[in-house]
Amino acid sequence: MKRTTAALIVTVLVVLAGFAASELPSEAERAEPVNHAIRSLADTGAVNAVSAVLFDYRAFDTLGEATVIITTAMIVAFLAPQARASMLSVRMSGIVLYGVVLLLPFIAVFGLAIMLYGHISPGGGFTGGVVLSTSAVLYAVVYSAGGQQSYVLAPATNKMIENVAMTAFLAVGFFGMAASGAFLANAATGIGLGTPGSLLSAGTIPLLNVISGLKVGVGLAIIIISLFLE
Amino acid sequence: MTVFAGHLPVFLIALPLLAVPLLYLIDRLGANSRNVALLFYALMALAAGVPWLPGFPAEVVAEIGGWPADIGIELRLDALARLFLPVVGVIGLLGTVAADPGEATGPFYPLSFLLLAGSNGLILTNDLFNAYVFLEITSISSYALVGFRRDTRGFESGFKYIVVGSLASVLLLWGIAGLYAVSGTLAFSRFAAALPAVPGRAAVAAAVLVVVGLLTKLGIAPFHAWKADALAGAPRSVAATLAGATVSAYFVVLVRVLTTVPGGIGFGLRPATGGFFMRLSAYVSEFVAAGIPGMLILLSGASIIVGHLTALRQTRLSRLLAYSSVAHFGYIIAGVAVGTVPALAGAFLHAVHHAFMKAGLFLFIPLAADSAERDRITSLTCGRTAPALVGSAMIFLTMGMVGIPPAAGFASKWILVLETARAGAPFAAILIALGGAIALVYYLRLSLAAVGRTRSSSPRRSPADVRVFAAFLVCAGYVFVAFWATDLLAGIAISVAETTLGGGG
Repeated sequence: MKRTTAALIVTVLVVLAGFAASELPSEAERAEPVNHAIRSLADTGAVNAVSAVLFDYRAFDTLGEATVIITTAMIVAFLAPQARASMLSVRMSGIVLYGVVLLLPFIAVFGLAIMLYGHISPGGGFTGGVVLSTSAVLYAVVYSAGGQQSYVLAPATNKMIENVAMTAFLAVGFFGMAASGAFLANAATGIGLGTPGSLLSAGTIPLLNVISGLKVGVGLAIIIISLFLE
Repeated sequence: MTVFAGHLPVFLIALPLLAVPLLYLIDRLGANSRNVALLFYALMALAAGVPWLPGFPAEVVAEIGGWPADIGIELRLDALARLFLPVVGVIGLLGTVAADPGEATGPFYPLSFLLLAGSNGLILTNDLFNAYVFLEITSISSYALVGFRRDTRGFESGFKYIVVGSLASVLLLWGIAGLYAVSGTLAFSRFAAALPAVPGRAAVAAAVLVVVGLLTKLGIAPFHAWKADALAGAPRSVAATLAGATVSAYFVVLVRVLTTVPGGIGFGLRPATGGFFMRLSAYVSEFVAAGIPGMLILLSGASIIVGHLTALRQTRLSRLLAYSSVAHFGYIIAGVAVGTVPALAGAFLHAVHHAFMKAGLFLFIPLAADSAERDRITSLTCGRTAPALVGSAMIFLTMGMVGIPPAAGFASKWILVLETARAGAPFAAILIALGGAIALVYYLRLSLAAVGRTRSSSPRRSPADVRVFAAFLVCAGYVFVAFWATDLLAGIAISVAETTLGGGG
C-alpha cells in the first residue's frame, strides 16, 4: 500500500516536472548567453574557463564550498574518534603492500599536476585535492590493516594544514581588498596575469588552486579515514 | 567611514571564518579559547549593529573580486539586511554565551562561528547560488550542533535533521538551476528584469522548488516534522540560536526570492457577488490563479492549525516551543504572501519579535529544569536564582507569544491580523487570531505548572547558570522595551518593507 502510494506520487511529480521542464529554453533560444567563457581569457588570464569562474569570478563560492568540506571534516573527526580499527583485522599480502608504495608517488604527482595546471588544462584545486586525498586514504587503509594505525600525515598535521589553508585563502582575499578595494580581486590588484598558457600566469588563480586543493585533499582524507577506521 | 562601510559586508562573513583558524591556534598554544571566542562573537554582534550608526550609507554594495552582479557575486547590505543582521548577531551571541561549558567542548565554538558566517552570508548575498553555498555552511554546522551531546537522542535528532535538510537542499539546488536556465542570471536584483512579468511554467516550477526548499528549512507545515526532534534533541543554547537567529537568516533569503521573482507575492481575493456557489467557485478559481502566493497562504494556514494543535498536546516544553514556531512562521508567511507594504512590515516585525521571544523561552528551560535532559512541563519550576523574576519574565515572554499587551508580540500580530484581512485574506486573519487563543491555553498550563515552585533539589550552581540567567533576561527585556518602542520599530519595519518592495532589490 505504502509502495503504491509512493510510486503514484513520484509518477505524478515526474510528469509535472517534465511538463515544466519542456518549457526550458534551449541553448539557441536563451535570452542572455552565458558570457563567462567569452571574456574569461582577457579578464583573468586563465586558459581554462572553468577555473576562471571557480577561482576568480565566483571565488567567493569556492571559499564557501571549501569551508563546507572543512566543516564536515571537523564534524566527522569529532563524532567518529579514531580510536578503534576493528574493521581492519585482515592482513594485507606483500604484493598489496609493495604495490601501494610503488603507486603512491605516481598518484601524488598526478594530483599535484592537476592542481598546479588547473588554470591551463582541465582540472583544478578541487579535482587535484581529491586525487591527492586518495593517496593518503590508500596508504592509511593498506598500512593500518592488522590494528596498527599508520598515516602519510598524522591527524594533527592534517588539521594544521587545513587551518593554514583556510587562513591562506582568506589572506588572498584580504590581499585583493588591500590592493584594489575588492575582496578576492585578481587582475585588478595589478599583480600581472602573465602569458596565457604558462605555468605562472592568471594571477592568483594558481595560488587559490593550490590552497583549495590542500583544503579539499586534507579535508577528504580526514573524512574518509575517520569513517573507515571507526 | 565610507571605505570601511564598503568593506563591512565582507568583514561580517570573512571574520567569523577567520575565527576558526584563530581558535585552533589558541587551542594549540594551550590556552583556553572560550573567553576569546565569546569576546570575538561579541565584537561580531557589535559589527552587525554598525549599519545603524548615523552617517552609514543606506545601501552598501560590495562586489567580490571587483566583478559586477551579472558575471560575479555581489554582497548587498540593504534595509532588509540591516534589520536582520543584529537579530542574528545578538541572539547568536546570547546562545553562545549561555552554552553549558561542560557541553561546549571540541569544535563547539568554531562551529558557532561557521553558523554565524553562514547566516550573515545568507542575509548579505545578492546571488542565489552563493546563498545556496551559505545555506550549506549554515545547515551543516547546525546539524552537528544539534547532535552535539553525542547521546542517542542527540544523534537521532541530528540524523532526522540531516535527512530532511539534505532533501530540502536538493530541491533548492534543482530550483536554482531551473531559475538560472530560464533567466540567465543568479542575482536577486536582476530576476525582475530577466523574467517576464507573468513567468512561464518552467520559471514557476523552479521558483516553487526554491520556495519549498526554503520553507522546509523554516519548518512550515507539511515540511515541519523534523523541527520538534531537532530542537528538543539539541543543547538548549543551540536550540535558542537555531530557533531565533538561524531561522531569521533563512527567512531573509525566502523574502528575497519571493520579492524579486515576478508573481512571488501579492495575494488578495476580490469580493465576489452572486449566490453562495457562484461566490465559492469565483474564490476557488481566483485562489488557484494566485499561484505561489496562493500556495503560501494555504501552507501558512496549515502551519497555524497543525502547529498550535500539536503544541497543545506536547508534554515537553522544547517540543511545545518547536511546534509553536511552526505556527508563528505560519503567521509570518501569511503576511509575506499578502505582500502589501504594511503586511510585509508586520511580518518583519513579528519575525524579529518572535526570534527574541522564542530564544528567551528556550533559555528558560535550563533555568527551570532539574537536569539538561528533562523538560517535562509538569516538572518545571522557576529555578533557584530569583524565582520571582524568572517566573514573571517567563510569563511576560508567553504573553508576547500569545499577543497580549504590554508585550512586544501584540503589535506585530495585530498588524498581521488587520493587514491580511484588509488585503483579502480574511481566513488567514481569523486563523491568526484563533491561534492566539489556542496558544493561551498551553502557555497558561506552563505558567500554572512553573510559577510558585522553586528548585530545591541539586544545589549545584555553576557560572553557566548566571550566563543563562543573563541571556534569558536580555530576551525578556527586549520584549518589554520593544512594546514601548512599537511606534519606532513599526516605522523602521515599514521603511524596510517599502525599500524591499520598491527597489526590487
